[in-house]
Amino acid sequence: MSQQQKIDPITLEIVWRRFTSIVDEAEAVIAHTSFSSTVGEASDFSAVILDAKGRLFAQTASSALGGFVGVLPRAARTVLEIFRDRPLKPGDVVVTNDPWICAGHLPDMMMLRPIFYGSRVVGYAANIAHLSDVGGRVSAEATDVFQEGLQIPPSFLYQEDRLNHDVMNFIKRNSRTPKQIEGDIQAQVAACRAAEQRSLEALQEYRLTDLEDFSDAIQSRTEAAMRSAIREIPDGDYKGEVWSDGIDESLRISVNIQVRGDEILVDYTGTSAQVNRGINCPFNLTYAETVYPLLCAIVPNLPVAEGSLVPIKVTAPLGTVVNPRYPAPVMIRVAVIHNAHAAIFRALSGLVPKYIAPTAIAAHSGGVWAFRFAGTYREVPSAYKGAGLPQESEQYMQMYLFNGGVGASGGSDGATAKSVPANVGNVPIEVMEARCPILFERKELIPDSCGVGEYRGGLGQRVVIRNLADEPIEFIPGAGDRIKNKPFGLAGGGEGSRGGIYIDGTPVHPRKTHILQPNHVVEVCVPGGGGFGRPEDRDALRLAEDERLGYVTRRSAPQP
Amino acid sequence: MASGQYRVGFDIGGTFTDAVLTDVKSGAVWTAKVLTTVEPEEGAIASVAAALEKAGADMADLEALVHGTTLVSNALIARHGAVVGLLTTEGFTDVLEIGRELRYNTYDNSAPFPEPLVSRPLRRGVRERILVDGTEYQELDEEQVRRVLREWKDAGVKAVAVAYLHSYRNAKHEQRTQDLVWEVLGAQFPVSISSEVAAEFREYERTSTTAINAYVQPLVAEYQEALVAGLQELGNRAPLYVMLSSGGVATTDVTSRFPVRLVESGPAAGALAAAYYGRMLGERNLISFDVGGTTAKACLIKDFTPLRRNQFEVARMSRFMQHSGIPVRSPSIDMLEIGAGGGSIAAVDKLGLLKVGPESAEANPGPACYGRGGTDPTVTDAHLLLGYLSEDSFAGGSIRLDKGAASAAMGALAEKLRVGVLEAAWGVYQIATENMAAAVRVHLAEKGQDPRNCSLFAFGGGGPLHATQVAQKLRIGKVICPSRAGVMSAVGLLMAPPAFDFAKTYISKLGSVDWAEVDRMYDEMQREGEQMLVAAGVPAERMEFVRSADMRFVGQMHEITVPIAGSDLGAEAERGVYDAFTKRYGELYGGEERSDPAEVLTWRLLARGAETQEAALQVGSSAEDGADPVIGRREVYFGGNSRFTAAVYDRYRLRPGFSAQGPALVEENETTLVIGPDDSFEVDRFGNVVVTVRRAEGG
Repeated sequence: MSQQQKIDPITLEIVWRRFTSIVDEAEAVIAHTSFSSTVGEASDFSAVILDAKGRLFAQTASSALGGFVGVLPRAARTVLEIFRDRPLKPGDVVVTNDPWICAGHLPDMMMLRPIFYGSRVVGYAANIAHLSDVGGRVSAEATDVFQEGLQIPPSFLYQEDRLNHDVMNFIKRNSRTPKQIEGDIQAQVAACRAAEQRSLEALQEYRLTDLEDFSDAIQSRTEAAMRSAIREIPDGDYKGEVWSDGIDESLRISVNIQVRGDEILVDYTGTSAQVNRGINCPFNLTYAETVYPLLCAIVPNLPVAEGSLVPIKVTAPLGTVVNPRYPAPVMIRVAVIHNAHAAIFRALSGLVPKYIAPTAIAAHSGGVWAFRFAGTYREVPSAYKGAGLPQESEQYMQMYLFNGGVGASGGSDGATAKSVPANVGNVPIEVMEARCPILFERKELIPDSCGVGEYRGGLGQRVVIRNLADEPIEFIPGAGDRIKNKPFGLAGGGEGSRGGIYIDGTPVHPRKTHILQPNHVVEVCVPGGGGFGRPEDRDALRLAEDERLGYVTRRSAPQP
Repeated sequence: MASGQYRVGFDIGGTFTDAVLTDVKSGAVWTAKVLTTVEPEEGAIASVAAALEKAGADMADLEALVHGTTLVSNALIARHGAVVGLLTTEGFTDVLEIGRELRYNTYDNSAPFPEPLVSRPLRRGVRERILVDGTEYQELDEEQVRRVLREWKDAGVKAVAVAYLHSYRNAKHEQRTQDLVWEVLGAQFPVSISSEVAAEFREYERTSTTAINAYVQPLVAEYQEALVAGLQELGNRAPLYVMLSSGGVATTDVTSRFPVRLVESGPAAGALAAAYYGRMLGERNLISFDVGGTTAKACLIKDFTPLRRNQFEVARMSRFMQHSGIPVRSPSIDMLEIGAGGGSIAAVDKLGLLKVGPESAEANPGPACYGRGGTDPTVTDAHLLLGYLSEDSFAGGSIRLDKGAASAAMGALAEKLRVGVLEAAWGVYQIATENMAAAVRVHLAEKGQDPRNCSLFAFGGGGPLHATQVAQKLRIGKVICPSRAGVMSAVGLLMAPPAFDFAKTYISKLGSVDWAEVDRMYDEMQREGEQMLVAAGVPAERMEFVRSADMRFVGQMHEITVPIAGSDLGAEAERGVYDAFTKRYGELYGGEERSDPAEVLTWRLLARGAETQEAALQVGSSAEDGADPVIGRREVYFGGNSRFTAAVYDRYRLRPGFSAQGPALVEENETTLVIGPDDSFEVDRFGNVVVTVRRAEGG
């Protein structure tokens, strides 16, 4: 086929589909070769193909993290601006983990490689992945970003396909797991190469000289679809807020969604000021965490390209916890920003069901929780009478991830223990116990943790873990929130249960590192989701079923 | 062992039950097709009897029967299995319900998840604990087990599943629990223990697999008994084998113990048949490509062997969405399922782009051209409008297609797209084909395989309609359209060797592996394998034991299966194991050479009966003598500004050695092979049609 001025919708679909499948392939490379548990078991990565102007052209529907929408193209454009005077050459790869350019904290590393067709740049292959370790503190306890590990400004990792060994060595030297981080980076570079190679094959096959016309067509169609969806919503200011636990004091996240014609401005004025511990969220991720719930509510399942994002503007006052000044600490930035979607759904809840489908928004969720165990394993602990753990005489730093109950939507109960708003899976108990000397005593649902309502929230869960080592180990809380501020319900629905972290039954500070003595026990409870609609409107049969299954033991509100 | 000279394979589908009978000495083949019956064993027995009658033989002449069944996957989809009681380690009764916590559609806040197979009140915790290295940390509380079992006696529990933590390293507690089940509930009571069903780490997947096994165990046992009894009544004395998901066959004794191994019993046979044709034709790397009404299925056959996987999902909430189903940890043929088939519906999406599938008009109402009230344009309607199908030769002329209805449905779509009806039909066909090609391309890339080194093996109602276009997109040069495609699955059953897979997780880093322990594990697996093969009638000299291991670099999360040396594993062989791993890793992912430490997670053994040197199946078609193979001409469209007139060939009149240039259509009862204007085809000596596809430039 020849390139035409105006591209028909059939050809456009074929070509766009092809590039989406190329991104699929690139993501498979990262998933299968990464050394990072958040990538391998928890899918914490994303790849894209951008057009020559740095606009989002193709991403996958399944694996692209909702919360990463728009992060890569925005980051890529910043990097290209920085490199304006040193244009990228074929085979170059730029690396950066700058939280203000990229995804908001240092373990998230971006790779960017130009796609050259002949002598022209026709697009970019880019991806981002949460790597095993970049040094620094892994908790929220740092007081600036310098304590959180190595900062890599946009730098050439490869120049014309030659590895810049100095850059790689700097990175490795600053990681607790140098071999693994090298493997992770190689996985990302290989994904960029695969995307470039496949893109060239596709251009050849379709006899295209570049992607410009196709990208223009995709951008204008996605923009038009977005604008027409926004136009359906009445003009007005829709306000919502949500409280995060913060460090010691609760923090407010306040959104004002201003719908004007076919555009939306989301403004965070009124949000709490940044804090001097690592839960601040640089604006680039705030932007993504804002756009994602809007897309879910307004245009669920619309394929996303740069055009979908054009009619949405997001602003936040500098110096707030959702737009902190450099060099604020940011490591556990999701603790705060994972509440943003809830504020947005709350703001839009008055538009249900007339302007927004009841199932398109949901009450607040228990969220994604994470913690780590760190220690040294000198010899087989006495509890193990067999061979012990496969790792011998090694330092370990093992992350555990799990999720709370999902908030109910206006047409369905919330799912039990699922990841919202990100999409990270748990690490199997049998993998955890093979990697550090701990014993899980329980991993179970918490009855009555769901918010009541016409539709109830999903149940939260708890884990109880004993230190099996003969020496103390560190317990380092990570993501997790809603201990003081329970997940709220919508439209009269009840709150989900509160979360909690206990050592030997006593509540401990959720943002500080604790020492777990041998044979002592830590318990982590993850909240259930909020309910939707008035509890008295719940179907009697469903309530009876909840009781039969032991989800609900009392017909009153959830546990304090 | 029966001493007959015939083998029969039978395969129960939704509409038809097919049987293929072969004379093992001459390779002669007879087929029979009967309607599937409400009690499936009745139709199965009828199909066998019909095939025998054609051959002039009777039940007593059978040497073996091999059966493929969708009974298990249907029971899981329709949820009509047994009431199961699940025993877990105390504190972990909800593992089955919590799963891996991933959402399968992040843009849908209310996407539903599958209900657990065992509901919460029937999941009970037991005080016991084994550590990761097999140490007994807490003894099994036998009294507590007995108490729960006594309760279940009155609660209507029909099967028990047991899944304790780390039981893959130390099965003592599960084995003791099994004895207690028999003590309390009776010696024949169905019980599935995870250390036997799936002795691999990752508690959710192991528990899920064990629960499935228990859920379908009573059903499978009952069905197999009825089938065996019915066959016996007609004089059968030959053993009955059942096809496993992995592509091996096992005796009914084995499959009633491990019915979870039957989840993919039906689809596996097609891939095996493709592998058989591959050997026959000397095609080392084939992509088997089977297109039906709703889905296209593809499987890579590498070095004459269908690729396998160690885990898959069944009963998905959303058919093509990963994480929306129930995980099964057991080996199966690695079958890719794509949401594109003849019934796939074409529509314009919110962006004004043309989308095809995964929604399907299914058989009812079916494509618009079926004239059963369907108004959505489908891929089959496109085939008709493009001239690939004709109104009066579809399904051997048994279903008359309505071109007017197809045109009306496609016309509405064309209007929205602002193109002509023919361009819209071409678009629908192209997009369906692109969807198929894209999925195959990604699948092959994940296996480290270049499609250009493969041939495409197309069958099913829609495979040959799309094959040459898919081949062109993947730069594949050759398409093979087999003779006897209609009974491919049943042919596959005849080719399957008795085989069973064993696996045991023992996580250890290379450099500190306790090889004596590994040898012990392999001895145990091999002993059990020998017993199964003996029971399946395999003589000792034809037994084969193939070892492999799931490995990764220390710190990685994703493991790959690597073949390892057959025997004499030991410290000195470690280098070989490591090299085998890095070699496979390089094949799959390329990249720079690495020297990082590696670990082994799960040790695998495949026990199988080596192939017998039987006469080749005479699968070739016998063309009618002298008749002109060209039975007509049709106008066909392949995009662009030109239209072509294609010769229409009757597949049953094509003789070996025949060759011709495209454009052409080759019609047979089940399907039509589309050959483009730049392609050519010939008929090989077995009656297969082999198309040479013009490769795209740059290939």
